[in-house]
Amino acid sequence: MTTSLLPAELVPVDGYDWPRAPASSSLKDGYRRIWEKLRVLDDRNVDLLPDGLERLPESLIPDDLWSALRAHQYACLDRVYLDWARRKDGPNTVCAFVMMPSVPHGFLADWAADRELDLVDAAAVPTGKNALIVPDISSLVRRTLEGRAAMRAYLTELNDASRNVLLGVSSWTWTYLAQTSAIEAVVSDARCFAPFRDQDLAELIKTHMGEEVFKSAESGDDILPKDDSDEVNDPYLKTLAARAYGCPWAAIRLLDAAVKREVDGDGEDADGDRDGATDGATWLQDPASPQLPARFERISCFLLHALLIHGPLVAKDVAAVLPITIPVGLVAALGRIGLVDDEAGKVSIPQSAYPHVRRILAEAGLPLDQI
Amino acid sequence: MNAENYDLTRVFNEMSGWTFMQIALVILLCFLLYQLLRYTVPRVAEHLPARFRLLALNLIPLARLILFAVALVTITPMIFNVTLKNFVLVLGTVGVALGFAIKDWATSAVAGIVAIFERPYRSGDWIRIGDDYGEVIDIHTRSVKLRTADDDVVTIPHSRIWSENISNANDGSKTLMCIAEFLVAPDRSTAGIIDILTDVAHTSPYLDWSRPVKVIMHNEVYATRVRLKAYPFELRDQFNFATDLTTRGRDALINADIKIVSTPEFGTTPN
Repeated sequence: MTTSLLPAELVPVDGYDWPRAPASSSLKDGYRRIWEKLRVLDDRNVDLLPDGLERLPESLIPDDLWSALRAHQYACLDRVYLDWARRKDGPNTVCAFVMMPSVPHGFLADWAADRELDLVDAAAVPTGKNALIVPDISSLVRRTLEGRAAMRAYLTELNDASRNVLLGVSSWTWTYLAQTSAIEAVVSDARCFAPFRDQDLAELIKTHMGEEVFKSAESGDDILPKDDSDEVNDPYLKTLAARAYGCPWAAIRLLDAAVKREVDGDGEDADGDRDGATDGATWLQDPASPQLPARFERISCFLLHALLIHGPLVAKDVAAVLPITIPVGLVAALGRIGLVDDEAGKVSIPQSAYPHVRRILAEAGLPLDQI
Repeated sequence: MNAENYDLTRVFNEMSGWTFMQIALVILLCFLLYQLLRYTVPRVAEHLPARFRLLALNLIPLARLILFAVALVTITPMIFNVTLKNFVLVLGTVGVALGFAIKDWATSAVAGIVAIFERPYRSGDWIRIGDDYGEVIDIHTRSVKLRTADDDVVTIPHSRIWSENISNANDGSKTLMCIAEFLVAPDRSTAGIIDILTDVAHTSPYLDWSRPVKVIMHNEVYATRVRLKAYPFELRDQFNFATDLTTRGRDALINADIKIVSTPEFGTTPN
């Protein structure tokens, strides 16, 4: 079940407006990260936290929240693309739907399959009447001379297409192509999901996890608005929205990773009198940000950057798109801190790590995506 | 005569052992504070987001100027009886002698102050003064230190800004233009060269996407000089970037059957 209060439109990529964290939170966060990088600060502020809190071994997020979020975003896609995709006449256009890497894999493919639209997973435009959905062109893009020639040929084919085409593309691939190729001349409209702000996240959490009392470890206050008021007093959700770059999937995953609860069997809280309202509360304390392996920071950034542009890569493809030798064991080292996954030789960035990876790349000064 | 003696004795304050101790403490404190900043700021700057790094580095010369001013303002009243009359008197008597003695140092020091405000170079900039090209690693009172690409440290007095052109490759920004040059045979078609080299730049992991990539050609007597110009996203990658453009650019041109000009081999002539 979704609510009409959540952002329902798709916005142009150029007009994406990031949620901003309060200045005090940004400063505090920046200060903490510098000390963490200098390996001076190991533990986060624990003054307000009751004793006996532990991270939960399993996710606290109910399945119905994920389903509702998916249904809500499918509805957003329906409103903008469904009629256009089923149209059999009129001018043919190529549109792009740009997604952050935090959006679940295969999101556009699942939506298109659910609506029985034509799907193709290759750089080809077969003839047909209805719109053609290309769920993810990131895997078709290679930052090599051959890859660029292939992309030029594909853009020519798209330009001459006799049907509507919807390209699903990661925000990093889109920015790379937009800056270095003619894709913006071929694509008539590029859109993405509207950003979720603090009120939207509060609405989503209240609707599906209303029985939980979430408290911020920074302030000790309830992060959700009291009663029916829309006003969010605690800055936690504002900061969360900013850290997730407005992507609700990333925000809920970050919230889930921050959950700490009492595990004491008898339910007695030794420090319960300190604030008088800790019984049954779920505390939110952000875990320490992952740090790149010392002395391999630069090369790690290049590898993470390539993985964001191209999606999952095998070692051979990494060597092709990155003319820099990757040290032996670097992928495993990044895997240990949760920044990459290595499944059967295919290296990728886990969705849950994306906010951290983007922050690391932004701090290192690498070219960033537009959303 | 008595009046002159009276004025001269009033120029200086009474100096005790404690006054000397205070002066030494002020100098020591300012010196230690400056050394602390010189040690700490570059190390912290390395961990700051890239966009703040140059900003932080440039605090050092500014801090030195401020500390110098603080030391001067604190120490002067301890030694001198500061009045306008005394100021003119001291300037008149010792100014000329002192001016001659430390003329060169003073010229460089004044140029150093001008450099802080006019900013022909800042910490982290890549500059060329005369034949020396390198990164500004330190700005002292008298001189600026560059680290060249060969890891030599060159010390250049600030006074060079009075008489020489200073070429600043990035001027405070976090990128600069890199150029890879190729000499191709002048008697062949140049079709495709621009596209090939533009692709080479666009496939470099060091490229700053938001900056333009240009290919410029120029006819010379024995070859057509082709210059590929692009920007890396990070100053420190400039040599890696230029190497990447050069090696892959050369390979791509050769693979496309474009002849790279080389000097003829001057071997021994067979009899």
